Amino acid sequence: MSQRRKRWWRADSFVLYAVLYLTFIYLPVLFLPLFSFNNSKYIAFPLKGFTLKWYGQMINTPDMLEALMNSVKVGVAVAILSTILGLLAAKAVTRYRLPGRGPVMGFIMVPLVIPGIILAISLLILITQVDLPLSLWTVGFSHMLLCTPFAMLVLISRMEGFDKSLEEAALDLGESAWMTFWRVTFPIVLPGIVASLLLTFTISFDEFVLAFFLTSTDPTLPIYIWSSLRFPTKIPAVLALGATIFVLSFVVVSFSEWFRRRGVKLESSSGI
Amino acid sequence: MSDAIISFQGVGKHFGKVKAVDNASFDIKRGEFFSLLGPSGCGKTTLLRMVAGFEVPDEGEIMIDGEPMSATPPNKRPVNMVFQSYAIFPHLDVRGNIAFGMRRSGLSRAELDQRIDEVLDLIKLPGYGSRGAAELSGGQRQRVALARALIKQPKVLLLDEPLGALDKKLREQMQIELRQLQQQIGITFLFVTHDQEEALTLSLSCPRVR
Repeated sequence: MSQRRKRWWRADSFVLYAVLYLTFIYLPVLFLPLFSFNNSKYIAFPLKGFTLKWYGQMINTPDMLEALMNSVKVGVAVAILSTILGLLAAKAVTRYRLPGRGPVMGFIMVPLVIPGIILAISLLILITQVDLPLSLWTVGFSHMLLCTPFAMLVLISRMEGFDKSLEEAALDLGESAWMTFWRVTFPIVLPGIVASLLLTFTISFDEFVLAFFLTSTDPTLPIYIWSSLRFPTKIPAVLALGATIFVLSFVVVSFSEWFRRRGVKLESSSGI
Repeated sequence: MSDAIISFQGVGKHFGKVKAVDNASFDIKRGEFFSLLGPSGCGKTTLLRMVAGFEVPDEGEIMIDGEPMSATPPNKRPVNMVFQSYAIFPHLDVRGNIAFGMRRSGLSRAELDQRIDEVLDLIKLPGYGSRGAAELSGGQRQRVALARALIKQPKVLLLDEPLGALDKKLREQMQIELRQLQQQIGITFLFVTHDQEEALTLSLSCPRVR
């Protein structure tokens, strides 16, 4: 009896912990959609009533939509390019005996641990030295530096996860190296590619420090949001945009998780 | 033309300081079931992989049907391999796996379908064409790996310890079937194993590799 009561007590404390944990993570985020529907300029309780006007204002703020488009443009380009680079690097690292592999890998991974601000300042110095005008291009370039190691990590683990003899079998059955890649490697690595695209897009999309240092007159969305904090009238529309992005990213992440699980199922079948 | 389908002529291969194969010279006759027997790590798989083209000999030459192979990449060699892990493509069904190497065969869709049905009969898995790779047992995977290689009608079929992953009973059954299959189709089999009994069951020619 006492044993049983003890177990109940334990279960309760775990449930309590879990509830607190989830509240701590999600409650602040939920304020975003909550206030985006609140009929008041001020972000404060008590709530004043339901409205959609901030969403209307969001659509009618060309600056903000332009910043959003800038972020999407940079994010898509960075995601595609760094995933391609990551895929080539992962292929090289996992399939060939490369001399000096360890140190080279180390250097490629360094941007992961360099503080963003240091990277941003050194890139700014470099770019002004070579007289490159600051633009979305320089932001994109710096984001690729940051994202490629992430893409490599995701793709290397996927490439290591499947049997090398599958590629040899394709060669053995008469396919060229190029067609082996498209008929065997690509379909098997596809879930990793999707994961890498989503991850690098997300990193680029909400990156602040590099974009802040390396952009000129075209702000990305994080820069725009930061600068509009000085103008209280703009804030509710920012909240509306934030809520929209939150919902969209929830959908995208759910989709990618579903896709990844499909991939896992596929992988478990390649074992002996 | 000699009756040797494969001829090893002073073949040597080392990895770093380890000499995997040293001055191997012997012939394999056309239509033979030829086993290479030896303990793990003695170089028999290396020898097989050199025939397939995945490893390049440091010295000597391998002739397949009278042609020197040193400049021929794996995808252009008239041999096919059954891998130790079977290497069944996980994203394709049984039919897709078997048809994989036939993309440039010039056969029509209907002819190819008929050929696939024939090899499915040959490996005793008729009606399994639409099974996914994940739905196959170990023994079935092995049969599909065999079918995928045999449909290419290679001059030599290379088998890299293909029975190692099966349990004893299934292994004995597959030994008999492999032997029958080889006699039925008459293709030369080059079989690598570390199991003495298996090599003797299967093969008339069986040199030991040291």
